[in-house]
Amino acid sequence: MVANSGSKGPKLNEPMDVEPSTSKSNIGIDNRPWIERYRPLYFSDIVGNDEIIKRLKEFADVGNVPNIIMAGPPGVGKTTTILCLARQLLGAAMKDAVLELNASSDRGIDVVRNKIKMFAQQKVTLAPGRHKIIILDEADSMTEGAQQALRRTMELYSGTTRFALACNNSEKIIEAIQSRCAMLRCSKLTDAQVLAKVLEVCEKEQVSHTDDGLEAIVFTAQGDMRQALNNLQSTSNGFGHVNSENVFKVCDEPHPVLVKDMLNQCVAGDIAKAYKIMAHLWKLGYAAEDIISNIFRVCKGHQMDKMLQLDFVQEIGKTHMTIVQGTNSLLQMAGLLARLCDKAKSYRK
Amino acid sequence: MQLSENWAEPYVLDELAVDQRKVGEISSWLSNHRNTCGILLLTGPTGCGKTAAVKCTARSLGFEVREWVTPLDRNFESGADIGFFQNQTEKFEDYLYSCSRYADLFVKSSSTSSLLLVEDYPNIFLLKPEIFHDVLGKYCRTSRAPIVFICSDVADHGLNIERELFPLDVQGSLGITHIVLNPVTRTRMLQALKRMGSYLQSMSSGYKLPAPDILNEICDSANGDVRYAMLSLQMKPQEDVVSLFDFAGKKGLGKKRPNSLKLTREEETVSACGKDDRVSILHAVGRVLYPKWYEGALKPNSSSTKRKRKGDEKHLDATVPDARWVHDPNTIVDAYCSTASSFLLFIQENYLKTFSTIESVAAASQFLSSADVMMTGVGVEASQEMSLNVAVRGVMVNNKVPNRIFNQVRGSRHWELLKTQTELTTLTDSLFPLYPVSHTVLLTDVIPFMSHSCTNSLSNGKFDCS
Repeated sequence: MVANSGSKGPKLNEPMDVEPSTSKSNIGIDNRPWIERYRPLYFSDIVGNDEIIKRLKEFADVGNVPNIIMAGPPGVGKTTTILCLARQLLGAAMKDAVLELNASSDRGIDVVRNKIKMFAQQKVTLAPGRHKIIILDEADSMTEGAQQALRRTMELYSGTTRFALACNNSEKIIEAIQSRCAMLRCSKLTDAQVLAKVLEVCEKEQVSHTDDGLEAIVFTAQGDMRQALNNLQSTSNGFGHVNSENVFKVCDEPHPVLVKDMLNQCVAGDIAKAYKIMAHLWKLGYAAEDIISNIFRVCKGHQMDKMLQLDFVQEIGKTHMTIVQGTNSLLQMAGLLARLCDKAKSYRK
Repeated sequence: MQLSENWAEPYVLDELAVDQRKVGEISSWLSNHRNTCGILLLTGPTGCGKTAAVKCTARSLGFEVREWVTPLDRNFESGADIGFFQNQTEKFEDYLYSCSRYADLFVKSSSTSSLLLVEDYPNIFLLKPEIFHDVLGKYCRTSRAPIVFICSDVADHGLNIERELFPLDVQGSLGITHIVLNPVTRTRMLQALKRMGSYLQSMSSGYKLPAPDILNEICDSANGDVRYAMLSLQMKPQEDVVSLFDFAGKKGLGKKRPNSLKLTREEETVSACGKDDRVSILHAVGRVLYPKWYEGALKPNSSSTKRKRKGDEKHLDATVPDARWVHDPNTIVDAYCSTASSFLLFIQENYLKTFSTIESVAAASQFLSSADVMMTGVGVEASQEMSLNVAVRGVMVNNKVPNRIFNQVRGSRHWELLKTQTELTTLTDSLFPLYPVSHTVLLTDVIPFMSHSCTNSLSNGKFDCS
């Protein structure tokens, strides 16, 4: 294991070299989860957000990148992009010239003032236009005091050091820092992009799969590549075969077909049938929050009248709020269904 | 080394994007306080050129700027303390004392006088402002050089350095001069951008300055933050400029009707959501405010643009059964989930102008208010997506006949208003410490009528702000 982690570069090519062999022997060689094994090393391998990647690539060739903030939902490749940028800019010097801190590292004011400054002051010989890079992953979890301490540091050492921040919610980053960085906003990956990558991995790992299985993987992932690959690996390790039934067993989510059916009953105004499905889901043991977020996901993509859909989304949102506040009983869900039916009926009149 | 040039930081006074009058104030203060003690507090929104203004004026007047940088207090690598330990307060006092008295060894000409600059405050002062006030008092008694403190305004976060460290009574007792810089104006920002553009051109000959439209757009989105404008200019992809030109050439027909050109261009320029944050957030808000539809399964660009040319033969809105969105609300929501609440504020600020009937305004505002409740109620990621979805759909569906007059999308004034509110609250607190009603009642129901009821007992002027 220790030897493995030391030589990441050549090892990544191995799955390709031993492609004809079975997946089991691959696992013997490489113990990392698939999401790590297929983490892109170069810009060309990164899926989605093409505009951002293109622009960063230009910078990586010329050098002199500004400080950047990558903001976006989880699993769209924020950290991967930053690492690729660092790799392309710094090459072999990456080991000495990159400091990576994430939420699990200590990042109070003390660390910002001392560790980051120490690193910024260190002398590393780099080509012109290249700078040391400090990667702050999950920067939105930094305290405000720590961010305040960072803002002047960013400018004082801008001759030698660049910052790359990754965060989910850019509103948690103070304005002073946002003003000092170029904001790159990543959006969720499209289903097609996720599917293409999943297919590629399936081929390399020789996973037996069906079309509806992959569809289920893509649906559960919701544009999150990390989740897609993790779900794929768990399903394939657990059942040996990826079909929709197995995927939903592994991910343990209410089946979207059932939820869709339920929504259709609501549109038709049939509360009894809709409630039957809800009671069935409840009996299966799903938490109210799981069910409601699944209903929302199905509803926003559902083909239905726009006015009615708006009302539905609003009701679902309100119910979600009450559930998060603690009222997560079956009665609330039944109330939601009743309100949806009511809306549908009043709309038809 | 190279970097300050790279960011095209202004070097002489003419290059500053700051208002000339304010620069004059700063420089007259500096020349009045050469080699004597004096404290200047400089505040303003982020990126309005506070530091640059101080550095430029100091340079032009022959001051040597000596900035306080909070030093390392422990050697982290070795884990050991460096011999003796001096706490941050003592270090700061040392800095104030020695820098104001002794000239820098590395400065050649003896005629320069020092100017102290503090932007990075030691953490202990934020925890215990009293210590800071003591230090300042000591400074006033002993020093022989002026000092400038720079604070940026923060409206939307809890930590307000200005209010903590420089309360009004301290400002009064120590004789602190307070200069407030305003956000950079549009014309000045454009000048700065052009300067930056010519600088980038001199760096690499292949660089083309973006079209005036794009520069305007950057100005709008930067909202008075000149540093951010510079960065957006630098991040602006070059190919886009080219493609925009091509497009303008191809659709030459549309130029006959400027309005339709504007609309179609709005559609095309925003090919990808999330290309560059604040520039495209305005576009995305525009998409929400002026929803577009096309019918059935036809290709969007062929059908919708043609129909517009013929002059709206058939009206499309959410009630038409097979109408479809040109821009799916789900993709808009997905792209802006990470700034959900500011996106919502944008919509709230701008939606009213684009509606044409009061019924649709009523319906839309109902959805916006419920979205607002969901957004601020609980801090769960999933609920942010839901509430933003409700808001976006609420506006897009209800705006049946958008008002097609072009309006500039404005930034939200929410935080500004909040800030004024807190200021007024502290003011009323100090004026009416024992008044038995809430601030809201005091501000809305008592103060406006006070001048009528008891004119002579009040000093006027104080209440103009209410």
